[in-house]
Formats: sequence, structure tokens, C-alpha cells
Amino acid sequence: MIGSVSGLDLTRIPFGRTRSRFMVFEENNADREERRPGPGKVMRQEYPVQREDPNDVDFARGLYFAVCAQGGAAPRRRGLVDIAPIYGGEPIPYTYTATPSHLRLDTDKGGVRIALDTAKTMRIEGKGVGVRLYVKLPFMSMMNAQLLPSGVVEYNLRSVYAGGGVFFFKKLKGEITLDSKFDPALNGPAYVHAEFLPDENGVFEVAAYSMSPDEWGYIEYEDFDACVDSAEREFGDFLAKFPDVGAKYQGMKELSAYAMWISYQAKSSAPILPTLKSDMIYADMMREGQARACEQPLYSMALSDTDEAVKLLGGNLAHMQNGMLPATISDSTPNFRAFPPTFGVAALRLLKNADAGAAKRAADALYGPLAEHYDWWFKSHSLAKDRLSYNTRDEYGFSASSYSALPFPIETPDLYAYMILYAEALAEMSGLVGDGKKDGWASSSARLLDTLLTLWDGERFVCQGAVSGRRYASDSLLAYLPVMLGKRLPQDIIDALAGRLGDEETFLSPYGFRSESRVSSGFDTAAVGRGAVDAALQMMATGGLFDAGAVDLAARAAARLLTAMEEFGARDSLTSEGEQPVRRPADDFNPIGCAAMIYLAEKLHTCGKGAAV
Amino acid sequence: MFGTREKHTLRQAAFSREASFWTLYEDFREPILGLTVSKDGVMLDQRSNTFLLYPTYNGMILPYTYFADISHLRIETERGNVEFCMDGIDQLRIRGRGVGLRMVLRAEKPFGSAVGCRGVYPTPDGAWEADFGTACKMLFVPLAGCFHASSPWNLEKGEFDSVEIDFIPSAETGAFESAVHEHNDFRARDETYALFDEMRAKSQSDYDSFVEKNLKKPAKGWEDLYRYAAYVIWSHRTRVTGKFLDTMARMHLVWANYCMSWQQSYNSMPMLNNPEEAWRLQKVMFKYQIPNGQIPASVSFYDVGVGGMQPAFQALAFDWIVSRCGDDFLTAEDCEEMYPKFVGWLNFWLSARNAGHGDDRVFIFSAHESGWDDLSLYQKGFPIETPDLFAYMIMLMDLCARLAGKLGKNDEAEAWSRRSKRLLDTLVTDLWDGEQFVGYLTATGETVKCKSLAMFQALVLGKERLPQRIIDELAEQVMRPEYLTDIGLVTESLESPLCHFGFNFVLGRVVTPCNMLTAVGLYRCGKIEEAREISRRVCRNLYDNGILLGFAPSDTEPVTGEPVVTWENPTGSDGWPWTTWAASAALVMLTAIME
Repeated sequence: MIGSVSGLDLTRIPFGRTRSRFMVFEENNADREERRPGPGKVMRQEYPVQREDPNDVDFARGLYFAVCAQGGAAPRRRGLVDIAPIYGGEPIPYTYTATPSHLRLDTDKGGVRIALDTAKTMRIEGKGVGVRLYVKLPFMSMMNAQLLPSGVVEYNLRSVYAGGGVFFFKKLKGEITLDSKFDPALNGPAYVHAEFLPDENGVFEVAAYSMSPDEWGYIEYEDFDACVDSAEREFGDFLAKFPDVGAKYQGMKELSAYAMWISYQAKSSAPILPTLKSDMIYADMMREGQARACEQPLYSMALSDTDEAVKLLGGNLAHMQNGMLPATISDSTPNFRAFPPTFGVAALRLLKNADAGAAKRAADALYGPLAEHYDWWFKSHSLAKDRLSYNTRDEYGFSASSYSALPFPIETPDLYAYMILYAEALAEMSGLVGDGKKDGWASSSARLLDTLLTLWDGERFVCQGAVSGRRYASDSLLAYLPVMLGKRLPQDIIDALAGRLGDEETFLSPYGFRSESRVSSGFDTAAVGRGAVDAALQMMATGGLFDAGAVDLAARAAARLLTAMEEFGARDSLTSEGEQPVRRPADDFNPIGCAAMIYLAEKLHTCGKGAAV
Repeated sequence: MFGTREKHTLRQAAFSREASFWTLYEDFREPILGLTVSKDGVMLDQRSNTFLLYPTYNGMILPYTYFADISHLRIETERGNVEFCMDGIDQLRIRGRGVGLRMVLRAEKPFGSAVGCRGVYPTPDGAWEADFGTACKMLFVPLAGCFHASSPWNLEKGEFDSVEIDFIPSAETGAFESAVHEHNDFRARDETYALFDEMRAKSQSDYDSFVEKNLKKPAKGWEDLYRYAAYVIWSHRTRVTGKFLDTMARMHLVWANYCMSWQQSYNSMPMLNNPEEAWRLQKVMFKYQIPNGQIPASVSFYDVGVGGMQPAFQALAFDWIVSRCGDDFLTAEDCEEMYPKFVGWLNFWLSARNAGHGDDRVFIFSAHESGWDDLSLYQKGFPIETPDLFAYMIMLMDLCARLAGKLGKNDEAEAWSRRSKRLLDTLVTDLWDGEQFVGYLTATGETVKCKSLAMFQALVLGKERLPQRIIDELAEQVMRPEYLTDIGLVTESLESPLCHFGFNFVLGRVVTPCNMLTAVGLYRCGKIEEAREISRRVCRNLYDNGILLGFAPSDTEPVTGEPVVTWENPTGSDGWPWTTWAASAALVMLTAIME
């Protein structure tokens, strides 16, 4: 089993707080070599060696302080600051305990506590010991650190290479020292080495703040214990927004909710031209540092709280330009490209679960921009009437899928399924807002369903070249996603889809549905979208089977996935058989995996099949 | 102007135009032209959206030469030619006569890979689009002839093996023409398109108008370098789009494509025909001022760089413009709007960077707050009080005094003037050791001396402020051979053990803007001939070697005698060309110092 929120394993999930970009995680170089210490047991070895290529490095094992670097791949090792308790000027061994509210480091000489206060403030206090922060700076990186008046240390790790943020550490009690010498020949300092040392009472306290201060007395902070209490309360409130999943999965639900909670990032606080304009859940904090548009609606499907679900479902709509939405968004560069339009499937669930008032509120908030976005698909991705196609291999969400072998633009069954549900959701919302367009949306949905059915070859759905009209059979799970349509499909089609999905030789793996049939020439057990068990696809395929009435198969697939997640973490992707790959530290709980975990656990719990599978 | 048979090539300038993100350049490693859309800071050979250009005849690649003037670029072959021009928005126009054109995405090592291209596909309105992720999209609209896109997908690599777009002439006319729009979200084709020649003529007239309106004529005999520098500045100016809230000057075009905060003011300094435009550039970063008064370090199409800041250079540029043009350009509305903003910026420095002596002495926390990134003065650390920083504050106070005076706030004007004079007194007493300006380490009270050109920058205060003895001493020192070389002033004395010409920025190499500042300082102090001599040496070298940021004055290191080892282009060094930072410095020297 994987631990609990009362004792977070920071090699598997970072310590953080919702809307905060601060994190602490345990570096174990897991992605460099297969070694993983037991949770909470750390022995400081020596200073880390951070070379020019931060992804090709062995770090000293231990806890690291970091921020979620914005936008793009592989930000984990940018701007990391090594944290070590010290006594007598030397690092000393420690163990740690982390909960959603605070992190405690214990040594023979005393202890250190770390809590996240406001979204921008971290608090550190120690008794009997001090803390050393250390970071080696790359050559010509334009990064530096300074000891400022009033005992403030500024770490400016926001260089073109690092993107690691600007931090201010202000002493509240005790002393701060800094060793970071500018070397003209190196175009800056080579390292930053700061120490927080106890005062005569054996105590130190520090507040850490991100970004620019207005003045030196700028740092706002709460009493440490009040900060711990508010974090605990805030997480409790968030946890209450998820449905009951039964006792069996309660622990996993809490961990998953925690991962989603810390990945919930606040809209930009930049005073000028903010890029991230609404609160959104990032795909992960350690690796990607950005929100994926297609996943926001799927996150909403894990919630039982309708208003929170509306916020998530509509979070990206603030970024619309010319009808188009970015597929990924952060405080860095938005990437405007098409993505699987998961709005419909999520909105229909939301409307179904909402009471009349909540449904009307949802429609008022979402209908206008969603309708504009739906229309954009036809302006940009339709080469013939009532036909839609993906233009590029990035647009269906799993670029490595065997779809990628087909000629593009390509009409695919999953795209039609998404858009059928999208139009149906718009029809429902149109009825709620009363703009008189309900029938038009319903008709659009029906026409797209007709088009989809032309892609049924008697055994399965096929893809079709948008220019050539040539048809291509596909062994991708994506081609089976029309199962999302449930009873909208003829029963014989549902049966055929379920039959193929339930076949252990093709799609049903020990851990859930493979994203590519095992008999496909392109199958790779670990490839995301081409053989691995991908969490987003489990939500749609398994959820669809539940809705289509194939409950036994759905329950079996859901239970397998949940069992795997209990062992390996609620990952965005699991190898469909055999060993799971070793991941970077603190990257075992990704919000989409967590959403799938909770969504399917709730389905399993309510269908009454949980005990039977 | 630029070309195979010209004095300068497109390795020494990039072909573009004001307001456009399209950029064409000659590769550093082989004589071939590249085409890119440049909105980010990515280095040329790591860019994901660069196409190499090959004229073709019946599918066969032809050898070519090229020529670029202000308004168009022409590739010439024995069979015909291909021409390029741009509009002032998002369009690149390509026209071929007698030949076709193949655009090949630069995918081979070491230039990156075709992974940057995410797809090439037809659009519902009959155009084709290539998607380069965050870098841009390109919408290809056929106007004559046709084109063919080839992009074989490599399933194993998960990327295109190659992306090629062939423009094919019409069989009847032998010509092809296409409009290509760059954009980032969704764009349909235009309903109508201007003629190529109209678009080209507009480019020329826009440039002519820019020059005539803003710049003074150059010193006689320097017309070619003047046009080159003016073109660099004009072609780097943005339109209002993305995070650009006004027309600004980018530092480079295919690397570090940022509008750096202080460089907006550098770019204002040659605008002596149009002080209103100079003043607009000095003000432009205040559109990004945050509530504490701070001004971000940079702006790009995508980002506002609020994580750092640059020197308060605006007042230096303002002081220069006023010294040459007077201050009649200041309107009451300007003063009303800008006075509180400048006061906010000044007060940010005076509080957040106050050195804690109970007065207006300020310090910096890092080298980048001074603009002298690897200055030898900083070898003993930070925070440090420096003469250039004091000079900025003095001029900023004087600027505030002037604006307050224009608004009739005489008490405030007098107060700023008093504080300026007090800080000036401090500068010439506490940071002058009798021979040179020095730094002061606030934490230890230690005086720090160095042999950097930065120690002469306070000359920009001019003879109205600086004592004559200091002016004379500095003017005499800076013209000594330890600083003045055949190509201008070294940034670290040749006699300094720290001086070297390799990888560093201002630790020895002859850096164009630093030379301009020294020349302006000498000029403002009445040392006209010294200023001209420096300018002549710098500009002669710029004409010979291109408008670069920095140069090594010899092939050997002054301290060790070893050969100079530095980065080869393209790389992020001061040897990188196409920078408005150097071009604006050159124009100041050509039009104001050497007049």
C-alpha cells in the first residue's frame, strides 16, 4: 500500500498547499537508478552536485524546496534548493513526517517544522537545530542571492535557464547567514548557501515569500499553528467536495484528493497582463507545470460538488481567443491547439447530478463560451458538411497513439463521440438559458451521430481520411471511445464494443483497459496512448461502459485499475502489464490519475459490484 | 544593402520589417538563407520553426545569390528569382518568377529536429496551415501557382522526418505567389490581398518615414553604416500585439527576442529629430509598472519579465534628449501622467534599494541591476553602492524636478533638486577617491576599486553637474592606451589582471553601448574631440565587421598572451549581431557625436 495523508511519502507525492507553488519533496534520484528508501527515512550525505544539465545528475538524497516551474516539460530540477537540518555547522541525519497541513523534520538535537501559509508564503521554524539551504548555480545563469537589510535573503533563481522563481526568506527569530560570492570570471556566483540559525533560546523562525516585495516589511504571515490549522481545514473542505467511494478506497481517495488539491493553481497574481486567468488544476507539479485543457472537465467528473465542478469545467474558457482555447496553459506561454473536446461528457454528468438551481447556474456560466468553442471546431476542423477531423497528431490527446500512423487530417470515432455529447450538452444548456437554440443543437448532435455510424464497418468503428475518404481500421482504444455514448448507440454496437474491450487478449489488461490492443503491431505496454493504461481513457471507456449497461465489465476494469493504483499510485499512465517504470520522485500521483481513481471508485461503489470483482 | 555581393550580409543583419515577426537571415555555417517567425528567445539553431530556402526548377535545387534592401529580399538564379516582402502585420509575401521555391524545415542535427512542427494540413477555407506549437502557426494562402506540402511521419520517433513545402510556378505564367500569415490561435485567410509591389513600396515608405521623422543625418561619409543601423532599429520595432502594449524595440530577432527595459531608452537616444518619439520610448516600460513602482526587466510577445529589473536608464536618456532638443516636447498631459510614475520608480529605488545611511544613497543587489553583468567592481560582492547607480538617481531626481516644475509643483521640484544636489555631493566626495570613482560595500564599509570602463560612466552627468577636475581626470585616463584601442574602449583596462577577451561580457571586450555611453559622457562634459575619436574608432570597426554588441580587440589575451577563445556564432554572446542595443549606440555616435 502507498501510505496515507497522515504520513505523506514525499518520494511519491510532494508536500504542498492548494494555490501555492511552493513544494517540498524527497529527492531519491529514482529516475536515475532504481532505489527507493522507506518513507520518512533520510540520511543527509553530502552537498548535491548540480551540473549544467540538471536532468543528468545525481542529487544528494534528501528534502528539497522547490516551486512549480511554469509551463513546459521537465521543470523538476530547476531552481531546487536543498534543505538540511544543521547542528554545530554540520548537516545531521533526520526523519520527516508530512501531512497536508505541515512537514516536520526530526533529529536527535531538535526539530524543524515547515508549513505553507498564504499561497505565496512558506513558514519554517526550528528548535534546537538550524537549517541550511544550498543551491549550485549554473554558469552565466543570471541567478544570484543577496542578504538584504532586515535579515532578508533573496534567492533569485528565475533565470532563462532555471525558471525557478524569486524567493525572499525573512528571519523572524534567530539569524540568517549567506555565503554566495560573486565571481566576475563566472559572470555571477557559483552557489548559494544560506543558514537559518537558532537564537539564544534555541529557536529560529523564517517566512519565505515569492516574488517582489513592496518594501522590507512586506512579508505577511500567520501564527505558525494558525497556519497549520487553516491548511488542515482547507484540505478538509476540499475533500468534502468528492463523493463517497466506500471504505475500501477511502485512503486512496484522500491521497488523490490531496494531489488534486496541491495541483490546484491560482490564477496569476501578476499585476500586468496575467497569462493564467483562472484557477486550474495542473497536470502535475513536478514534471509539467501546466494545466491541460482536456483534463479540466475530467477532473470535474470526480467531484460531487456541482459549483466546484463548474469552476473546473469552465476554468479554461477565460483564455479563449477567436473561439479557440489553449490546450495547455500556465503562467508561461499558452499553447493554442485543438484538444479532445471533453466538455460535453463532463457537462452532461454535471447537469445530471445538479439540482435545478445549480444546473441553471452552470448553464449561465458555461453555455456562451462553450457554444463559441463548439462552432470554432467547424470553422477550423471541418472539410465537409457535418464532418470533423483532427488536423494534427497532438489533437487527440495521445500523440503516440497508433492514430499517428494514419494520414492527417483524419476523421476519428472518438472525435465524433465527444462532439455528439458536446452538442447534446449545449442543447440542454440552451434549454436552461432559454435562447431558443435547443433544437438546433440537438439536431447537430443527431447529424454527427449519423456521421459516426457511417464509420461503423459492422465490427468496429474505423477512421477516415478527411481528404482521401479512405477508411482505416484502428486498434487504438480511442476508436472505442464511442462507448461513451452509451444507449445512444444501437445495442449491437454496444455489445460489439464491449466484447472487444473485455477481451483480455486485446484491451482488458490486469490494470485496466490498454490504450492499444495487445494484438496491434504498434502495441507497447508502456507507451502512453499506445498500450499503457491511461487514466483519462479509463474514465471515458470504463465510465461509458457503466452508462451503456455493461456493468460487469466496467466494474471488473475499474477494480483492476484501482488495485493497480493502490500499489503504484494514481498515475496518469500505468504500464499495462509487468513492472511499472520507476518515476521521478514525487510523481506518483497525477491529478488525472486521481480523478479517474475517485470517479471510478464512486461508480464501483454505487453499482454494488465492488465486492464481486 | 545586404547580400552575396554586398559589404554586409544577412549574417550581419536580419531581413525583416517594423511590426513583423517574420525574419530571414543567412546561416552562420553555410551560405544558405533561413526563414523563421521569431516571437521568443530561442536561439537560432534551436528554433523549431526555421525553414531553409532553396530555389528550384522542375524540382531541382538551383544555386543562388541574394540581395536585400530595405523593402524586399531577392533570391537570384540563372532561371529566375524569388522575392520576399512583409506587411506591417502578420503577412509574408513570396513571389517567384521562372523558378519555384522549396522551404525545408531545419530538422537535421545539430539544428534541432522537425519535432517543432506539429502538423501541416488544409483548412476549410482553402489554405494550408503549419502548426509549430507555441512558436507560431503559419497559414499558407496560394495566390498564383500552387504549392505542395510533404511531411512524412516517423511513427517510431513520434515526429516528422522532414517538412517540405514546395511552391510551384504556374505552367502558363511561370510564376507563383503566396501569402503566409503567422499567428498563434485561429486565423482565417483574408478576403483580398494587396499586390506584392504595393506591399513592398509600403515597407520602403514606412522606413523612409521612420528615418526622416526620427533621425538626424549622419556625419559625412558614414551614410552606409547609418542606413544599416537605422534599418536594424526599424526592423526590430514591434507592433501592439501579445504582451507588447506599444511599439517597442526588440533586442534581437532570432535570439533573446525581448524588449529589454533599459534598451527602450537606449533606442530613444538617437531620436533627435523627434523628441516626442524619444520620450515615448523612455516612457514605454511604465505601461508595465507594478504598484510598488518597480519596472519589469523585459517584455516579449509571451511574457513580462517581472522577476528582475534593469537600471533606471530612462532619466539618462531623457537628460541626453533634453540636452540636445530642449524640453518643449513635454506636454502638460505628459507631465500629469508621468510625474507620479517616475516618482514611483525613483521611490522604489530610494526605498527598496536604500543603502541605509539615512539619506538617498542606494545600492544594487546583483550585477543585472546595473547592466554591467560581470563587472570587476563586483568581485567583493553585494550589496554595493556604485557611481553609475548614483548618476542614474541624480538624473532621475532631476527629471522628477523638471516634471514637477512643469506642473507648477514648485516645492516638490525644489525638493527633488535639493536631493539631487545632495546625492551629487555624495558621489563626488564619498565615491571619488581623488583619482577615480569607486564602489562602496555597504555591509563592511569597504571601498572597492577596479579598472573598469564602468567607472567612467558617471561622465554622463555632464559638465553642468560634475566638477571640472573630475572631468579632466577621467577624460585623460580613459584616452590612455590601457583603455583606448584601435576599435574603441575596452571595458576592462588592458592592465587589469582580470581583463580578458573570451567569454565575458564587460570584462575586457569592446562593447558598443558602453563606448557610446562614454562618448556621450565626454561629449556632455565638453570633451568633444575625445568623444569623436572614440566614436570614429568604434564606428569604423562596426562598418568593417557588422553592428555587433562586442568585439575582442586582438586575437590574444592581454594577460596571458594566449589565443582568445570565445563562442562561435550562433550563440548567446556579445558577438551576436542584429542587436538594436548596438545599432542605437552606433546611431547616437554617427548622428550626434560625430556630426
